[in-house]
Amino acid sequence: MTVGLSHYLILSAALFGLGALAAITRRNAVAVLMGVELMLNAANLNFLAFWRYLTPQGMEAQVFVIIGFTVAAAEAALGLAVVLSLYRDFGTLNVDEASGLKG
Amino acid sequence: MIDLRPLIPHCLIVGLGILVVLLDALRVRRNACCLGFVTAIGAVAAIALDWMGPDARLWAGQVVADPYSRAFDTIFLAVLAVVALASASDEPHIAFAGEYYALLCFATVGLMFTASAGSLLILYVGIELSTICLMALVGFAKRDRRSSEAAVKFFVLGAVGSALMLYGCSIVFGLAGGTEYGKVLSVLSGVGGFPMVLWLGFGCVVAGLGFKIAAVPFHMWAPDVYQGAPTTITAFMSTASKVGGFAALLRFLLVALGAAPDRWAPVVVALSAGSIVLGNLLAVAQTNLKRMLAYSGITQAGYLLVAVAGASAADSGLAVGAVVMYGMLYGFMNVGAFLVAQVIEDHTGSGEITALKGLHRRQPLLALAMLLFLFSLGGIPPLAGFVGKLYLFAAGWEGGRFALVGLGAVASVIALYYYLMVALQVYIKDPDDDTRIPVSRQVSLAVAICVVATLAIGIYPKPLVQLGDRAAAALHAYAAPRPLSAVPSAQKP
Repeated sequence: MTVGLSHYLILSAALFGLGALAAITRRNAVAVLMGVELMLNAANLNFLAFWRYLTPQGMEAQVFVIIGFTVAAAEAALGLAVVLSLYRDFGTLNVDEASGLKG
Repeated sequence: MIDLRPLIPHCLIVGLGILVVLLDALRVRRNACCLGFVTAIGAVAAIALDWMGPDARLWAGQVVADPYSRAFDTIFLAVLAVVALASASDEPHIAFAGEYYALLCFATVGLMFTASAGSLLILYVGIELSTICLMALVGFAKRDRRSSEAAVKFFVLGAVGSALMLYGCSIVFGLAGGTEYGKVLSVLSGVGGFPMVLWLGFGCVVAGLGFKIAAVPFHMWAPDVYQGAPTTITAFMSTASKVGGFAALLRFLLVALGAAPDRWAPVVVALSAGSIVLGNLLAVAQTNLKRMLAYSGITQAGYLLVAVAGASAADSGLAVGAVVMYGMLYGFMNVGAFLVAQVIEDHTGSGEITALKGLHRRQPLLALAMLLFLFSLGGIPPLAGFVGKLYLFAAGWEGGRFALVGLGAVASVIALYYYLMVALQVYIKDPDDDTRIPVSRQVSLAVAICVVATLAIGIYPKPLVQLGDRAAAALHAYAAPRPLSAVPSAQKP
């Protein structure tokens, strides 16, 4: 059996699903962050698979992946800062316990 | 050699962001309020430079500079100028004032690229640049519990939205072998306009943009974040950031997916109807002014989507013009309303609607300004909001969305209830104490600009209509020689 485009796509869809599941069900802010990173990397895997099998001479997919990395890094840095400020103000990492805003 | 002149305003705003950080570090008198003025002047200069630049498509159509993108740039920069001006009076009190303005500038540049995006790549970069800067700004009041909570909520939902959008981009890339809109359109036209797999990519991209414009069902973050964020940032997010989402949405739908408008139109109709109904119903129940304005903003996004839905059928020129026009006047009237909310909240320490009780006795001019903003948001003639809403609904009508326009018209009447409830507090109720509410010169100036714009656009809308027409013609020319709509006959809703 040879590994083809569809295998990569299935793997990335599974990664994306797991990431989304983590981001939605986990209440710990750091775990949510990890889920989001999984989702972003699933998309990057998609890009690389499409690039390798469909447009091997183009560059757009690679540029997209590099930008995806950059965004993921910026988001992680900012996310940790936000989580730190949550911890300082509420003494917890549970996103559900920060519930002062309602209506 | 690429002609980079169309990007001069973008570079100017980035430079402005760096400049204010440096100025803040070098500032000798800590109580001076110069940074806000510098930012506002820079933003106005960027508008002028933007309109002087040539039309161009850079990097094989990835970035498009045309009157369509300039019209939206003008909205973002005008909002930036007003918000920067209004923030100036708080400058001596906030830590990291330089970084505050710098992040605002960078968020604006992100929005400008969103409006110029000719491919999903640039669209994603623009959206992320503005969202990440806004995430930092929402949590800017670090010692305020509400600000931290709002930042966490915005971060979690914003990050999921961004990941969804990237995944959607990857699906579209896989289908079309590229993400430049022209290429996507030509490939999709070849395979019948809308293959099944595209639903996944289209759905993910629209979900990402839906977060940006806060349309139901992607609106959950808006009320909490609007309430918890510093009010000037809320004003920026609820206007510039929302309109940026629409700028991207229109270009993406009308150009990249222009071959199959009958496929995406029902989705837009559903988003629009949901936003109008749910936003309205929830706004009625609010007691906090900023939360009420958040839900009213969701409803306003629904009104704008009426025009987008109308753009799917037949001639889209009216719809594009209406969105440009409404984006501009919505920017002024909504920023104005939030600025009044901020003055009251700063003075009384309460964000409740009842805190406005008897405002006409405590600060008559501010009360009058608030009345104008509320009437304009409610769409009462002769104010700007009336003309704008008329154009939106006319565009929906032209596009054959009769039921949706009817729903919007009924909703506008219901919306009057919650706007007038605030006006009732301002004018009819007696104040608990008669002390005057002080308003700083900077905030007065910012509110005055919003008032003048709201009145002037309502009485003499012609220049703005012409701006909208130019933008629509530019988008049409961008989509040509590929026709905007491959289905010539108008569809029934």
